[in-house]
Amino acid sequence: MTIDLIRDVLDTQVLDRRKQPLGKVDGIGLELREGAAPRVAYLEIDGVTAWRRLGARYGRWAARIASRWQHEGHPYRFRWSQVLDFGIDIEIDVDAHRSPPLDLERWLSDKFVNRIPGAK
Amino acid sequence: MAACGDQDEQKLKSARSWSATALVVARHWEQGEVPTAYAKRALRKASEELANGALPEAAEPVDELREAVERGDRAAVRRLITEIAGR
Amino acid sequence: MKKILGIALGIVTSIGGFLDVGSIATSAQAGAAFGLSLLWAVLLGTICVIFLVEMSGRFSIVSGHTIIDAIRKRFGFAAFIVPFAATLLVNLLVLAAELGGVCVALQLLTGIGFQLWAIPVALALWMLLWLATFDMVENGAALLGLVTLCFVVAIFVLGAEPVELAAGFVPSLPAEDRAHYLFLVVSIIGATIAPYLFLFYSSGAIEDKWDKSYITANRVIATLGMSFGGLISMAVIVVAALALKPAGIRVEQYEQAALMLVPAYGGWGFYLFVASLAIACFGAALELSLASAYSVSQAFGWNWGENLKPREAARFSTTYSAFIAAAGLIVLVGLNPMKLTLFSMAITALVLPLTALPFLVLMNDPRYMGSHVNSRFSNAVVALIVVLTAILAVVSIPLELIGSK
Repeated sequence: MTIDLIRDVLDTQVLDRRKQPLGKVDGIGLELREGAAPRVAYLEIDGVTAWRRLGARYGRWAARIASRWQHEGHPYRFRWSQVLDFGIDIEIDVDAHRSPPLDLERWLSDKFVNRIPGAK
Repeated sequence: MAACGDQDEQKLKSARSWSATALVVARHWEQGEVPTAYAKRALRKASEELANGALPEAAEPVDELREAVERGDRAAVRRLITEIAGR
Repeated sequence: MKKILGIALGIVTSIGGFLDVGSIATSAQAGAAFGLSLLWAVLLGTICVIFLVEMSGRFSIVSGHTIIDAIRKRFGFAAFIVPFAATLLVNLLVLAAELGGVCVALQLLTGIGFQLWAIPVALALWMLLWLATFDMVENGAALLGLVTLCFVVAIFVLGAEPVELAAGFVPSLPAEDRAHYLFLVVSIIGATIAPYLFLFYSSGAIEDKWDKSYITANRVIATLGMSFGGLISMAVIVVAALALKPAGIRVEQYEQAALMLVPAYGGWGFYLFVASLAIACFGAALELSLASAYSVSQAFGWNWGENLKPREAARFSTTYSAFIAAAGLIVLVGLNPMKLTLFSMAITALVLPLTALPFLVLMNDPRYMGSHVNSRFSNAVVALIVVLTAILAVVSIPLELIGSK
């Protein structure tokens, strides 16, 4: 099977093994090899990567803003070998819970959502 | 130039429309069809629009209407409506 | 049986949810100033929205994607984000207009200025979303929205001339006041084809897990729901033309529009108008807040969904909270609510191609749609109406800005 990376993979929704949303494929890393075809090294889920696609300046702005909630592990990368299912979405063999792509979710929960009554 | 004439025309239309609005509001209030809070506010709005518009002289009778509505004086409102409509 | 009930509920809620601040304000102003002669604009908008809503349902059924998700994937983040941000900004303006509509309804009822209602109304909207389950809230609002059928009934009470009604469906240009007429054409079409409507509909189809057995049901819901909804918009024009125009009243403020049902219903008429305005705007505000939060979540791949608790979807619930707060602030500033409404509708028409045209590209892509790609006819209808309206918007918005000074 051949896959068109830009058309079929970039900007595709990524889910964890329990089908919880992790984010989008914001970037793709290729590994250039001597005497062989390039190979997909990793796929990246990181808003800053996406904004960088508009231009370096937007990437810097996004990085400055995201530094408020991003902890370690950014940009978040996974390998093609972790892919469980590839269809409308990409399912990968990780647990979204506590994973770096959900830093913003947790930050907003702590700073805002869970402080308001009724958030349950 | 045509645009200027057009704008004056629009201002006049707007003023006539506010004058008509005031009369209709007063008539409906007098028949108990609209609440007093609304009638007062609509009449105040109409008088403001008239005072700042193409027919400033039409603002005064509207103020009288509003005062009569504020007093709850239906007879006065009836009388003012016939007066204004007669002009 | 369950499917038939679902179809019925779908149709009823689309009818009840059709009117919003935009269609009430534009139609009232059109009828009062130009009589029945703008009915064709509502018809044109309704035809276009029937096609768009049917397409958005079909798209999600066949491809399994929501529209926003698919546009980002098909065109890439860099091409997607700027038009998307513009659409969100317009959504925010429209949300402010809807909140303003609820506040104006309360002002009409109590005499207390609309700005003072901005915070309570925004808070009530936010609390409903925060605490209740959305589908309940939303279906409830749409069912209450059936009160707007009182505009249709009023036509029969007042008695309209069928020949004159029919003449209103033929596009024409009046002898005077042409700039404002064209501006109203744009605003009416913008009010009828709100992008949030079909973005929301496509999200609903994904959430309710519609499969290919729903293709016909989708067509029925879109066609019947939207045409009956459009009928109510047209009824507002007719009622304004019959009740306000002969009295010489033009609609520059809601105080004037509030009189339109009194000739038909007497003392009830005022309250019916206030209730219609409040319920229609509140229902639209609910949908709009959700649709905006859905779109942002789908654009960035976050958790989204009708019945998630705020804690399970912090980014999603923060997004609608921020939207509602910002819209509340715009109302609080105290812009003239009628003008705010008309301009947000015209700008909606202006940015419509930004969502509708990429969406049309998707509808013709066999990788998403397989054998269910659009027919040439439906492509032509939507593209023509959307593009012509946007061009008209470019011309008429500046003219209206100069004219209203």
